[in-house]
Amino acid sequence: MSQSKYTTLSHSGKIKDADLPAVVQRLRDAFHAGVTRSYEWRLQQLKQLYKMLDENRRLIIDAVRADLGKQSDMEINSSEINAPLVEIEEAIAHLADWMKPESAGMNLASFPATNWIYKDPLGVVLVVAPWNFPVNLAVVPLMGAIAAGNCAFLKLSRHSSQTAKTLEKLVLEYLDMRAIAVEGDGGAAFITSLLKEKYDHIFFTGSVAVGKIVYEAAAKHLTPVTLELGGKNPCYVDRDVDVRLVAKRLAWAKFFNCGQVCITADYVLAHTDIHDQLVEALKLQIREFFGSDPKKSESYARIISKDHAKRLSDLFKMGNVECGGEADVEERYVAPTVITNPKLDSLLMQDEIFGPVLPIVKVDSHEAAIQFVKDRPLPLALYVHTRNSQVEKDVLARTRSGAAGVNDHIVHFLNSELPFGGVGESGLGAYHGKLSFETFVHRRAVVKQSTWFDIPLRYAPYSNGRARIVNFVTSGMAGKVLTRLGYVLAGAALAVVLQKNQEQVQQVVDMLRSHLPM
Amino acid sequence: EIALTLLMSLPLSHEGKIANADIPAVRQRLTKAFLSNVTKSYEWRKAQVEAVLGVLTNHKQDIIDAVHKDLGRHAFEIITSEINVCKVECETILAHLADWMKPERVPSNLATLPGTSWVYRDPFGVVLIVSPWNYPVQLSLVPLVGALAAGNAVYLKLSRHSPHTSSCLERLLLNVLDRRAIAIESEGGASTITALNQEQWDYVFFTGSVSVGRIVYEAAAKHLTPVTLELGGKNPCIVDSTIDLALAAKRIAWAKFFNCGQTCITVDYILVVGEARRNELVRHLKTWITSFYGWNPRLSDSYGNIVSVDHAKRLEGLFSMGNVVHGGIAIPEERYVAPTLITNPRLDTPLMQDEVFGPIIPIIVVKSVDEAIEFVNARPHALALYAFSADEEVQSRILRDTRSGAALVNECLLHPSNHHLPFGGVGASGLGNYHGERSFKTFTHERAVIHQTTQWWLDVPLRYPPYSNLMTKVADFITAGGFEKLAAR
Repeated sequence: MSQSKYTTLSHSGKIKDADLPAVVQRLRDAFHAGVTRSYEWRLQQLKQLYKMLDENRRLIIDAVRADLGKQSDMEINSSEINAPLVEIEEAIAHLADWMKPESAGMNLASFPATNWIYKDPLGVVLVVAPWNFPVNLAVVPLMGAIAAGNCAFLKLSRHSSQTAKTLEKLVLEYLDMRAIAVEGDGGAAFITSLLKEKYDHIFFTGSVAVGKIVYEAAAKHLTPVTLELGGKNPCYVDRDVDVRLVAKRLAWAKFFNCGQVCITADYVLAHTDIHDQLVEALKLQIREFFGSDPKKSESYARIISKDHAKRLSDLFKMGNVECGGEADVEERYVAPTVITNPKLDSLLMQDEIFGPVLPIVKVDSHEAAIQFVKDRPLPLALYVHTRNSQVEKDVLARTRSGAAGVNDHIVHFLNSELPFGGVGESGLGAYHGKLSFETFVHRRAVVKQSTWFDIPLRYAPYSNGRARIVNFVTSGMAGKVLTRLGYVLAGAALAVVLQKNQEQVQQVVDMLRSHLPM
Repeated sequence: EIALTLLMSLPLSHEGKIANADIPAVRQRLTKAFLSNVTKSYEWRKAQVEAVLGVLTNHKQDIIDAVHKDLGRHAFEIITSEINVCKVECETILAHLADWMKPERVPSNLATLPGTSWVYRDPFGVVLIVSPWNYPVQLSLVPLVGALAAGNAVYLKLSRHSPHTSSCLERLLLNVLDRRAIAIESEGGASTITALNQEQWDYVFFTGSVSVGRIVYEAAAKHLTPVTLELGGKNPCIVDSTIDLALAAKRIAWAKFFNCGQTCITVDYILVVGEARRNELVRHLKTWITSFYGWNPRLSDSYGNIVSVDHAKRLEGLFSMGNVVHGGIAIPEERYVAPTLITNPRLDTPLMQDEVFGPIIPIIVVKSVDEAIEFVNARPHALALYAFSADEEVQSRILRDTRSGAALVNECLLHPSNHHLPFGGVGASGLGNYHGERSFKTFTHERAVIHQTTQWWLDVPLRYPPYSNLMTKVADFITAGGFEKLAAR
């Protein structure tokens, strides 16, 4: 089936609720027509995606800053432009390899058939992106879907509206709109309509609550999903630490993007012995990073919306404010805030904070920290600071989380060799690096059998004698015996070769003898 | 010693039969066992898998007898498709478990150096496994040993529709496995599945029909539980104009009547190019059926039974939905349905709408391979697709233009025998896969772990605020992978 020249664009202009069935159908038609199948097409789209980001840095950075407010070039450039570019580059470099069918060898039962694992695209993929890293968390999953040969519907978040408008415009300009649809305006009602359609995979990054809705909608169609959700990521600080170093790394991670990062430490469990020093060290560190008035610092970002800024400022009263505790809702500013003795049954300790507010709970041992974490939903990330390897082992072995960091935070996101995903309520599935490709393919087992001979063993009528032979063949014993037989035959063959070439063998032995001390 | 006392004090997951009302308590006890780390050690996992292997070896005859009572199969079929498949899976696990369990070190990049990056293999927790009646040993034990090898606690729900095998396995396994962390139940029906669906599991592994699979998936979704669904569908078999029809017929007949067609990956229906070829195919199929099972398959002990009177009646009902050209005899009370070939099946009837799951082959004539491909693509993705053709271009075209869990060229059924191949569906035929190392991976959560240095002098100052223009430029270079590119040159 060659590419149909009659394949239409997936859509032209804004997509309304009523348009959705037709848009999804056009994506499906494009898939069936084979638009996305070839290596050349996929490679070209990936290269276009690369150019899209690389050639429009200033435009994108300004849009992200307009949405997230006063964020530094440093943060936006590294997390929103460069991090996706590295992932796209890796895909471009390896796509041919990733696409190739893998050989699965031969086995006795189907001999002499060859066995393969093909990487088949799934069809039409829905990618839903959030507002906190509105470029990265849209582009990297989209890239994976395209690399795997799928058509994609990309839903951008309306909460980061400037970025959504910019990305929508750029996608329309750079990518093949027969195979891609993009929308960035619709809210909850639109998403409900979107979820009524049937997709071949749904990739969702966002909150736990909406994640459940997405998963339930997918289940009705037996659609597989990847869910990158969130949770309250705990950070345990042990007594055996360099408090200043801990404060430095913790403060860096927590206030990056004003705490609006799904993998940032949500709260701290600090050992009683170092609790007070940690609080003091954090105060000092915050001043070193952002000055005495963080509102004026070029390095400090803003909250996504006034509503969220208000929500965060309401958390101040749920414990003892040690530093910060100021907010200017109009300006979407919330100061870097540290809170001790947080009330455990309050919103501060029940809901994901997603902001620059850091509660610190005192615990008297790492055992207590493990117990604290055990009764709570599994988080996306778990951090432990300690120089004691036994404590480290214990904490890792007796907790579960999407990822874990020992003495550091959040950088696992940047290593494409690591699977990025959650577990339990924090999500299911993972991506980054090769996984971004693998997530969107179906690994299809393929067996190719010969037609020029046919082993009669398997066929009825069954007899006991034949049963014994087949038992031997299928029991795995055959494999072992044949391997050993193989060694014996190889040994025999070697002996024959040596026998026939006695002179040469003698020469080699003499040469070795002359070099080795005897 | 504290650990030991803790472990010894754990109650068994259940005593005797589990009633629906007991399920929440059993689930809680399994969670407790998991959280007490009973299931985590290599020794424990190895012991459980060895115990299952022991049951298969020491009670082989009991199991063969039980399966024979449920499905009437010859020992030959039971040994090859039930017992030995499980044994090989157990042996594979035992040979490789230590390696599979080890945390894997992966390369670190500049952003994470000088720390080290690892992928840990953590169990999910408490796993629910629901197995069906058609291969009651294989489809319960292979997932079971995978889940145990991965360090999980398990609730194993065996099918009541294969009562002899399920109760035999329940008895034998509960005798040798660690009952603090493993629960097994085999009598409950639909209401039990409903009760199980209300609980929150850490992973659900379901093998069964599409309709129940959907119910299980929707229930799991409410709890954000990851799943593997091994479902079914109508597996098409395309026979083109180039293949040797005698050979094709032989392999198709073997696959179709193995276990009386009650195999999720069997040939469901045939699409053959050209009416003349169809007639010749039918002739060859008849020849092979007679060669395998004699003139009266009812008397052959190589031919199995339908699992229940109800299913036999259902299959009998399909005869009228097309032209019966062979067989067409059923004695439901004996759970006997003859090997049956039907031409011109009506497309809007259950014969061509629902999975047949019995010894009846509808055979449809198509004008070309392209028409066959279109026919297949207009329907939900199947678990397996079969292509019989001597022409490599046709083979490639069929593989390229269709989608299915697995695809076999000039062969049937044998892909599960190679444990390097992923065994699973796509679309309506399922999601996820297993066998071999994948069984271990299915029940494992891969956790990314960074180990960072605590040496001050190794702490790179670059990342920290306050940000300056120079820092921004340098960071730009580094985060764009500039260093790695430079190094590569």
